[in-house]
Amino acid sequence: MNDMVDWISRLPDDVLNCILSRLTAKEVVQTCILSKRWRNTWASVRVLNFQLDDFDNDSDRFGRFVDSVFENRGQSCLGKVIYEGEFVDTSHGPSMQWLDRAALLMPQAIIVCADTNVGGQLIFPDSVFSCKSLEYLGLSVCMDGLSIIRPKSIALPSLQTLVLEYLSLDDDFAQKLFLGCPSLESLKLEYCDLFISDISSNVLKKLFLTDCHLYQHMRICCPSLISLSINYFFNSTRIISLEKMTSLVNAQIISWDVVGLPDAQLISGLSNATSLKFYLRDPNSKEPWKKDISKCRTFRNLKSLEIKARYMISNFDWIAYFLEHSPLLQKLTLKCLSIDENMIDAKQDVSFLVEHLETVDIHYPKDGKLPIKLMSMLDRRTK
Amino acid sequence: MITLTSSDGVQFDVREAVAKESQIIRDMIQDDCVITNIPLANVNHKILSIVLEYCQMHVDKTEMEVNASKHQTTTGEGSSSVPVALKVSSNKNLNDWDKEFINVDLDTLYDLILAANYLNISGLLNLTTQAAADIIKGKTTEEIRATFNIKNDFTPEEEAAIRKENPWAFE
Repeated sequence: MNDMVDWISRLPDDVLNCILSRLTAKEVVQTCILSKRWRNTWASVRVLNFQLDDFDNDSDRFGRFVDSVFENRGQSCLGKVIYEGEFVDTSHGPSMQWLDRAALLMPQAIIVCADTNVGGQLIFPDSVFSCKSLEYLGLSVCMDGLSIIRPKSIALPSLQTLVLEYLSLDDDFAQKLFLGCPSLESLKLEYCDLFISDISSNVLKKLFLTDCHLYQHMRICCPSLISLSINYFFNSTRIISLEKMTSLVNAQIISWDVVGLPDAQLISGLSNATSLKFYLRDPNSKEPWKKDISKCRTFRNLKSLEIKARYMISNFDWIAYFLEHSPLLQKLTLKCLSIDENMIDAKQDVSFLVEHLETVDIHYPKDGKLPIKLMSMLDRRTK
Repeated sequence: MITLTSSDGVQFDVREAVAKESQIIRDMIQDDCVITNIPLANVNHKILSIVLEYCQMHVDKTEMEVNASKHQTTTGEGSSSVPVALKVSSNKNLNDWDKEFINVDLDTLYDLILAANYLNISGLLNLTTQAAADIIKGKTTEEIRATFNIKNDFTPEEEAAIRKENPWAFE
């Protein structure tokens, strides 16, 4: 009925591995029964993708499987280890000790995504933080109460990217991290509790802080940083200070939940950027924003400025400030859902330096009117 | 323009950027910058034309995005060589296009995997191996054998023994 050639069994080993590395560990292991050609193929697959789901979320069955995989697959090197699972087991805390055995096989990437409504702590073995080959580490531990990560030491000489989610991190961790990861280029912290006062690195190029709670003032001092993204849900911009951001190219400040403007001090730390994006809820403040402006510098590289507001833009002082202090600005984008009828216009005439402004892209509701002064200023300056 | 010749002697004239989607061609051009004709001994014309359709689409889409971000007019250089069929779908998401593109029979999928591997086109290799993995996913051992026509050369006793010795793998 089927005269098709059995091509999949004839594929070169590396191509077949490439296919199998896209399956879960259980699916891969079970190919051993297909035919003799497949008997040991699974053991050389370089990706182990453990899905707790495959074991009906049964931690014991999962544990037996993981142990057996490591016992049977031999010493061939691992590329990537993935664990994903939602624990429902309350009898004993989920164990991640098996990562010890994975770390011995010199993986380039470890990705753990654990989700549970059970309290307690998920303990990661220290080997995860001393794996010489590791280039990518992603730990996401969504439990009832944030897990604290406290490795005895950190020595990850190859680590380039670190993604941490739902964790509680302190100064001790941060110090060990930046000392122990001399190649760390990209750091992403999401939904974390940060008791960190200092993020200082000479090598970090990308930093993402997304919906993190900051409990103390945090200094970010990263002279190699190219890309910065801060997404906050309470006004943490007042407690972040930026220093020596001399390589910065792209920065975005996102706050869909907080009323008001980002702090002037934070904005002044972005003064080297080429492209700035602000996505704000309601960037209006009754207090004059200019009071802090003396701290701000000229945005001498800024070419593109984008400001999106969820509600309205009614205070144009700070936009005028950017126009005034960005001599190379080429593109200005303003987007907002509504414009206040009683808007406060830019208070005084602004002297523009923006000779290079080419594109002004303004999106606002049809019935709204842009401040006449702002419009006329832009009119005068653009063709 | 570069001429690529398939294993069965059919010539394809493509833009250098399109040919360079292939790592081995990229290396060849880098080593010998006056090269204009490249014979491809392991790919026949039927598969090569499908592979080139993929490369063309991905190059066009990338160039279109670059152009869009530069705010240039969309009728700029590069688009004149785009076949009409591709122009129509140009607004569609590239992922959707990939999904449609890879909806081929198993034999063609096999040839595409081998071609992507030989020419070293990482995007196409990812796409094709993922498609093969998706076919395996969720199937029982029997179903996988039937789908790919894999001949079970274990005796029933041997198969039973493997299952028995490795209960962890099958529980």
